Amino acid sequence: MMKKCFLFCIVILVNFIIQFTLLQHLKILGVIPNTALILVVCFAILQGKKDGAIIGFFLGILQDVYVGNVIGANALSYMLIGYGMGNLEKFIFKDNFLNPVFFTAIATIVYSVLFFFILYMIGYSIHIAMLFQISLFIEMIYNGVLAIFFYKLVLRFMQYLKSEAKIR
Amino acid sequence: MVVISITIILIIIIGISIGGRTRVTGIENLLGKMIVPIQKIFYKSGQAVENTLYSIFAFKKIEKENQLLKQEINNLNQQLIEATLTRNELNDLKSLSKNLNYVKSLQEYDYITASVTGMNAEDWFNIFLIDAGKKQGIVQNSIVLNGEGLIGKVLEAGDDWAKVISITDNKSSVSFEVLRNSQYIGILRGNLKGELTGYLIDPQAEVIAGDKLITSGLSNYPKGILIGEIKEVVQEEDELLKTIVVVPAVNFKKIDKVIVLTPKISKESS
Repeated sequence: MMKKCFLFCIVILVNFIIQFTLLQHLKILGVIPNTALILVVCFAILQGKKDGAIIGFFLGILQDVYVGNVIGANALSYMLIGYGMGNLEKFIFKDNFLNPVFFTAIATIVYSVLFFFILYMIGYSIHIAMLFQISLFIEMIYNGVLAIFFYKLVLRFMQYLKSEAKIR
Repeated sequence: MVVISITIILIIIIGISIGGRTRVTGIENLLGKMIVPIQKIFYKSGQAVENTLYSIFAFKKIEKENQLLKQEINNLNQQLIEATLTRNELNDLKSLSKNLNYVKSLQEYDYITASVTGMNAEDWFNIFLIDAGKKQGIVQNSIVLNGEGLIGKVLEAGDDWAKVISITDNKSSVSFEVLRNSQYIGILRGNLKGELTGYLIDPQAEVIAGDKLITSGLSNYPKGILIGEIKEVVQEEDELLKTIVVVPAVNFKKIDKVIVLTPKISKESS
């Protein structure tokens, strides 16, 4: 349990550091992949709703505190996505690598809608047409493709944790 | 049940934290201190990779740019000579105004140079993390700019780091004047597409695309900082005001060094 918490912290911190430094310079067609969201989806569909919600909350709160405009907007969106996707964990066959692609693509839209709604509620004058721009669909594809690699990584990571637990 | 209660708490926090907080908590401060130096390395290396890739793919373009820049240097050299002459004149006048005991209207600022260590460049807003904070005299709402023009203001300041929100944010507005004719003033606001939209207070004002805008000194920002260039002027038939769309002078996607203006007075009093 200790080890799991420690590893979660490292995953969250490393993702935060990479996402807002290196990745900002490596965009394709002006779109930056949202690696935090991919991680939330991967953890949720592999580990279930509890871990999904926890990792979503902490990834979000870190992003909000340092590079967000209101505290809690990302934390809320990621947590709800992690929890929602985690509910589907029992129905998912885990060796199919098309699952993360599909769920990440859906999560990208859900995240955009949630975030849009929060911005709207705090008084940004935004129009619904701005939500469904072409960049959203590029991001969907981009996130989906990256999700395969992240999924494999998280899968291996979880198998490592489980094997450690069995030896003891 | 837990999820619902956390959701409610988060919604309350969202409501409280709109518009930035004047104080950051100890944990944030500590974690910020740890993260910012690490981020700096990654940000720099990312930039290096981007620049190398860019120069490989765009060497033709760079050659053209080079020639344009050479021309501009010639122009600027001429302007420099003129400016030096006017500066001498201005110095004379300034010493005169000192002798006559004029009241100084301009608030004086200190300058701090900081590097960007991280950024969140979404479609809807731009937020930067810089490696200078309260210890260097930065406070909330300090003005941030770079060589190209106005960037924005400080949203929250920690000990050694600060969070900067750009002028393209929908919630921060800037009052401007047209460089060509300082009587034309108005207000600009981010339109969430990386541009600014605004209107001129005088509906008869004659502005055209390409006009440069500077800060007017009426709002939070001091006078005379370049904001950007008018991209288009929209005159709706059923509206009195002229709406303008402005492209910011700063390329928000490529920012490395910034200058932060901190008020001199507050530093002396502290």
